[in-house]
Amino acid sequence: MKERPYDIVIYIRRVALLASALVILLPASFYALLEVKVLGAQLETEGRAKAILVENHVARNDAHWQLRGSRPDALNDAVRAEVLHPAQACEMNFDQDDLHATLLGEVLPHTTSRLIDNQGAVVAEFIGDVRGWTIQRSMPIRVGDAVLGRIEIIDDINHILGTSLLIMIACSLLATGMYWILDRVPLAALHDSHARERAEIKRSLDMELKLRTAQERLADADRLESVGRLAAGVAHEVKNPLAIIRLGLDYLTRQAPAGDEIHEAVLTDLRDAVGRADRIIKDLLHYSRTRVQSRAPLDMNAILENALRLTRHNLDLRRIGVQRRLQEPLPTLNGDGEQLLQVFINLIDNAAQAIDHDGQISVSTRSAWVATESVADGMVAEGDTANAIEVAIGDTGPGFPDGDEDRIFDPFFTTKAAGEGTGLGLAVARNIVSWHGGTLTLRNNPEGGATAFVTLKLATESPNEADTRS
Amino acid sequence: MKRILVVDDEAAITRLIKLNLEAAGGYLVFTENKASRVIDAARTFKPDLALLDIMMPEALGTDIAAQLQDDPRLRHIKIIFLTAIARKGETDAGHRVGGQLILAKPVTTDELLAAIDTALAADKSAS
Repeated sequence: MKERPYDIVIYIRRVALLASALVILLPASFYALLEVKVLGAQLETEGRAKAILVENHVARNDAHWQLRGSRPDALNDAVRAEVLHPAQACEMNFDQDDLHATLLGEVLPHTTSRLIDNQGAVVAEFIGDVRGWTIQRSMPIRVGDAVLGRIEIIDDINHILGTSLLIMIACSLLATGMYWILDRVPLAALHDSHARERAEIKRSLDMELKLRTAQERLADADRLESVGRLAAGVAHEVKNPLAIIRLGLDYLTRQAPAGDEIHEAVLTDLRDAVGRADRIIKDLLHYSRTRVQSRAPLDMNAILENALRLTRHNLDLRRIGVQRRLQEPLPTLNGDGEQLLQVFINLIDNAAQAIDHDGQISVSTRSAWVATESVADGMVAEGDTANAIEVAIGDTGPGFPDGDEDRIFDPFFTTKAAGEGTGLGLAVARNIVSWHGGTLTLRNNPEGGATAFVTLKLATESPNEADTRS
Repeated sequence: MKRILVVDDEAAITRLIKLNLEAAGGYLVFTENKASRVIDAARTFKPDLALLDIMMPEALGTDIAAQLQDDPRLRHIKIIFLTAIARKGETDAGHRVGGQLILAKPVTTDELLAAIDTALAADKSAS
């Protein structure tokens, strides 16, 4: 991805922060710096033995000391090394005249290493120590109890400190300079530009989402077209036989012997069966014809009242009361009045069937605010200027099983007893609402029962409006 | 006695409508299952009202209605359409085709009788 100015500034800031941290951490690294220093030192001996440190290479985990000097007379040939520090090892070689000792391993301050002859006498001892600004390493050369001499390596760290100070000053200057520059960078503007770029990315993602939604709608529309053609064909082919059965029932009813209850019951069952078959065909036709047919300013409260009036007989039979909480006045919205009436009839019927008998349906309307980018997600929130209307139809039934939130809108999905519904009512309702550019969701209430929420945007063009006009 | 011409390509439907209307009393019913013979049947039978199925293999009921309207001797015949395509709700809402009543199948005899009465009463008030 291309780096943007805002990202670069943020990157430089991090570098400045790192430089500041280095300034703080530098003193802590003195020991490490000192240990990689190549030192040189002179060996001073007392009398009989002379030695000179000719090579000294110390790395972090490795020390290599080489001593070369006159061989002391009393020094036994066989000398073994005893290394007190576990990381150390020692090799000793004695030439005819020279002492040549090599100590391998890490030589750290406060550690001691010894060279011991085969009689147990310490021939040489190496001590690492740090005192103040100096590092002192000493190695006395012994024969028996007598100290032959001592290697003293005293390293003044001032020059190292000087270098370190220079690095510290450079880091400080770098950090200060960066902050000085960064203080003058119009970060807000950069941030705005950054925010704009992010907004553009979000917009393109939203566009993609919308495109996908539109594609899904088109797929839905294609499916509905197919269902529509199928339904029309089925309707024609099935309704004619149904007409024959119904007219035949009418004829048989007239011919039936008066008072024959069994005869009457069979005829009633047949009539009911024809009615059910007819309802399924009717709903199937409706399901496939849910495009918005016309648009006019609508009063949702009036449509809802009309739906309640048309379903009143059903509600009365089931002894179901209606509780209204309708916002007055409610803004008008453009839509197809007949189709939305069908939505509310279906939802009220669905609520009544869920209750079965003896219960309460609550019907409410209110202005709502729907996030413009998220209409498809049905995000409804309080506040700001209302841009939608929310209609809620609740019931005191048992609610629907968990996990059925989406399946409940599938055609022919039903949780009701056979004959109670065709399984198309909610599917039809959701299609109609969807073609109006709105959302229909069904949620279980915490206190029991379920509520259907229809959210319709005000004064907007539905996704299929152009399609409908064409 | 009102004369009713019933036209549908389904012979069972025309037969049962005839049986039911005549059993109800006050109607003389003639049935026709061939769209091509409807105009001739109308001229011969001289019905007060024609019940026309819309979707028939040979012709649409609406086309036959137009032919009846075009013929000065048949123009007075009231028309009720029967259809298997329209939804019940649409017909209940008083939808009409070419100003004529339309009934959705499966229709009941009571619905038929009510529609026939309505159509003929309109004829009476118009005359």
